[in-house]
Amino acid sequence: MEKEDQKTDAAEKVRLEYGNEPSTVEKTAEPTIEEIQAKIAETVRTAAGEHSAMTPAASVFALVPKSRQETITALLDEMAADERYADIKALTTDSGKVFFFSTTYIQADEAVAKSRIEEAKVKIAEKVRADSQDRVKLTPAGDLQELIPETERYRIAAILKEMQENPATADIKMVTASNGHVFFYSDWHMSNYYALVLSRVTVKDPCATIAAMVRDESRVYPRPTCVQFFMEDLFEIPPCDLKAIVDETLKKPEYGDIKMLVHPTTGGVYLYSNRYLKDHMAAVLMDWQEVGREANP
Amino acid sequence: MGGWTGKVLRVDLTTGVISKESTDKYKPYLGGTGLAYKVLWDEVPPGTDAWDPANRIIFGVGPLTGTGAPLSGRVSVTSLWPMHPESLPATGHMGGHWGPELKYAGYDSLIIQGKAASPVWIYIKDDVVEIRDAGKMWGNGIYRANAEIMNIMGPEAHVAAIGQCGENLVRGSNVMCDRSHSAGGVGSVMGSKNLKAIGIIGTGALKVEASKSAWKDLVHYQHTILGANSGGVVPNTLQSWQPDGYYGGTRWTAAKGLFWGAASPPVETGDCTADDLNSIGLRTFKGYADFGPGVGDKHTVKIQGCHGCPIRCHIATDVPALEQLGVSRYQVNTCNGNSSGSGFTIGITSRSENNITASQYGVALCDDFGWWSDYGLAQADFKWLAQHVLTAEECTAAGIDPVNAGKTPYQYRLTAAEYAKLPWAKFTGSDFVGKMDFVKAVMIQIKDNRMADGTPATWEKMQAGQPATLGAYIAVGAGRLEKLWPELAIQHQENKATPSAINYVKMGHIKHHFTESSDTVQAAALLNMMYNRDPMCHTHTNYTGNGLPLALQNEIFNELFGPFEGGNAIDAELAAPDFLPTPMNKAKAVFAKMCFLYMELHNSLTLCNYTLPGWASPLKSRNYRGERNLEAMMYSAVTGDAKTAQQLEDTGLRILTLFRADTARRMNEKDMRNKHDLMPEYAFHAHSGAGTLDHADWEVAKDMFYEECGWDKTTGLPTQATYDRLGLSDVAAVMAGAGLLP
Repeated sequence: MEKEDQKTDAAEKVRLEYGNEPSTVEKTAEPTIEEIQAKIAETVRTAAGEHSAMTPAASVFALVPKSRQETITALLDEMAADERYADIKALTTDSGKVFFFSTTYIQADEAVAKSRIEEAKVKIAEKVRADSQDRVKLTPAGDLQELIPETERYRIAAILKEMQENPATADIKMVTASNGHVFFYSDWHMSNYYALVLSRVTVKDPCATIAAMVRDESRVYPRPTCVQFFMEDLFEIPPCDLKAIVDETLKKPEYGDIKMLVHPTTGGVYLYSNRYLKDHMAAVLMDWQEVGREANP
Repeated sequence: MGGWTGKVLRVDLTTGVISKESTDKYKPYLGGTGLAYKVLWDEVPPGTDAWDPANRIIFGVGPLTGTGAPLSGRVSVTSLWPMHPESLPATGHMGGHWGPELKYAGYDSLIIQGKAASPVWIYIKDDVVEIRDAGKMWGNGIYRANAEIMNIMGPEAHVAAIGQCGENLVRGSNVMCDRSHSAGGVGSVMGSKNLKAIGIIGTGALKVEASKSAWKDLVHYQHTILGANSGGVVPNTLQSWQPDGYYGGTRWTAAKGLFWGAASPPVETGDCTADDLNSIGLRTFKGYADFGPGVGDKHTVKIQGCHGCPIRCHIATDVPALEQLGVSRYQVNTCNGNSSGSGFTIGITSRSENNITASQYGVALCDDFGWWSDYGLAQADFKWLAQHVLTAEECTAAGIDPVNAGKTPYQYRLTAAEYAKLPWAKFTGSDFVGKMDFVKAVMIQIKDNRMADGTPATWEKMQAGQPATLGAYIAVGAGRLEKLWPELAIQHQENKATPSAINYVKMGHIKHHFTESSDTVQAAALLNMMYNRDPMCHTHTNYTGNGLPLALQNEIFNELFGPFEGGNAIDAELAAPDFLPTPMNKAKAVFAKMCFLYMELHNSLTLCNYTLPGWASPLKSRNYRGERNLEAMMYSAVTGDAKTAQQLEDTGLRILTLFRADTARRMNEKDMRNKHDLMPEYAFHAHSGAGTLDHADWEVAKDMFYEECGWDKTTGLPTQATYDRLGLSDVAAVMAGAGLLP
């Protein structure tokens, strides 16, 4: 067969031509230096005035568009020389963290004391967020004490309460396990439910964890739970122990609503709570999960 | 108008005439299946057989195809259906890039009619369309056809081709494009026309009426609504980032620590959070989902997809063991395509190394031969015919001499010589390579499609009692084979031992997302009764399988399409002990109707019904609400013809109603309710693993569904008023003339 000359470069093809009417979505114009400075001042004043709080440098930097990040120092220097922003001051702590405040609301000596507290808040937030995002773990309350050993325990509680009230740190949430142990997480990086599940695991009562998870699935979706689900790392159940733990769960009177099903053809093992899911429906839904879905791709 | 190119290409293989005609008369049907139904209605008279030269095969694309609208790479290939015993109309669907290329070449669809005197292929490069000799390709597989045509046209060509199955008139044969995208069931129509392949290069552009920025904004908006393949809007496993802790039941399988292990270097799917639009293509890790942990992830190179698709659902694998079996270690396919060959084996542990090797070995053979799995019906029937030992009672009931009790149907039905041609010891044995030998032997018999005397197999010869090969009996299709071998009805209708294993519905076709989807029993049954093949509808399962709690699913549906009184669309539970769903109600009828309409719209616009509708979204910020107007917004922006969702849904109903009329006209049947809209009796028998239909409730379901569509309850036929309202008065006149107006 003849070979034809082909010079078409697919990458150069124009595939679409468009109409001329303007987009219905209005584009947001990039803020001017003046507008950025005004926004910084407003943010610092609001934190100081409404929450009596210092503003961490990171919160200020976040107000500066990416395209102007290199001009932050010059931008702040301009503000320092501008009478309109004479109340906006910066303070650097011993550990090198920078905070801003408004002298209209916070006096300089007061700011030094507050900066220590603000520094603690920053450390707490950074630690909790990193644990939630990078390690996907809860932060035990004890870890916070180690983080700021100079701060008394009761002060930490107050600091955490303040953090909850400040929108900039309100993502730091607390969850209490059934044994009373307290943990923290950032709901920017971890859902409340996931934190709840992790808190269940910390109690090291796998029977209770299994029962709680099974009840959740039977109630919410509803569906039975394949026992293989509990082999996921987050549950910290050694696979070799899973069968014994499931058997133990089924024997405990407090988990009397938890029932087991075995799929007749695959042998898949499922648990459900008959508090929320009827026996025959558990069987139907197990069959769908075990063979139905795969047979209906 | 944007979107459409304005021209439909027609190739008459009998006369060699190539013509281009205006798209205008097809625009009320959008494109794709809608356009094709109109062509069949206008041009192919009742009584025409699927393999008659007068039959058309229509490669239908729509106004959205090729525009870059997310999920718009689809092609609907519509024709009279060779698998259907009465050659009623149906559609195969393929993705890839072939459809968009047809648009860039300047065509809103391709209609092929007639029959070439000798094997040909069609060359399309923009305005240049030629019928060329395919003599050297004929007899070879799809891979060779692709290579030959790309050698001629260049590497950027997109090729749709049939293999030996299509050539040899195997009814379960496909058309395949872009390596792994197949339109099932229609390959033999091309074969009957002596048409091997269609190669396309398009260098033109499509017009989008919206401005560039408006279009970009809309596409971005659609991306924010999309979840994963099959409609999942929450991750399959519990993930720390999902705001409400929702998880499970979806194909959103990406996770930290989960890799495309055969990529170089391996690619971590990672946290594909709902707001990270750059990781949408990683969400659906189908290799892991389908082949299992430690196997699927190990062998996945990447997940491929169609033109304009951010989702991706085709699994590209690297299985080195395949080289020992004589085929390439690199294969691509998805879903049932991955079991089309391996379905002819038994005793392979699922989710094992042997399983993926067998699967991909089958892919290598089937995708070259152009074999279509018929959604697994052929393999299910094969296993039953090979393994079920007939009892004396079954023999008597099926009209077989009871002396054959104790034999399998194949042992009784095949001649001894034909039975002995297959290595049955390898089928039942434990040696893996032997099992693959058996698969190959069966596949070769299927693609050759011969009578025992070596002549081409035909239905007429089989009906006359001439012996055929086992492969030919598979190639003839389940509907015809049941007529020839009545005992197959035991498997199709009466398999009480394992009723959940039954997968036949009626008229030669299999169930597809049927009553085993226990939350939408009546809607699924309605979908499975309507079409002349399996319904190929995923609207219902994509919505109910989105992973959200059932209560939230009903809440969202009621907001979009309600309010409803008298119950929800989606069932929370089936009643004991018979697994009966809650009685049919208004919400269920509307749900069923919308599932039909959106499937017709997707297959006509074209958009992917394997992921849409977008009624729900992964966004907590939207409280998981999606967008009913998604299709209408895309259509309006591209064409400039502003339509609301409700207006577009009416277009969907027009398409469905035309299909209904055409089916009735070809059957010459006024009582569609009782003669076409059949349900297998096993659907009314209670068994675990599926919902059960109740006879009285099923009649109510049909009543309510017909009423929603504006069809007559007594006959199940569209009424004059409905035809008129939908702009189908000319169809009504024809139906009236045929005595088919209720």
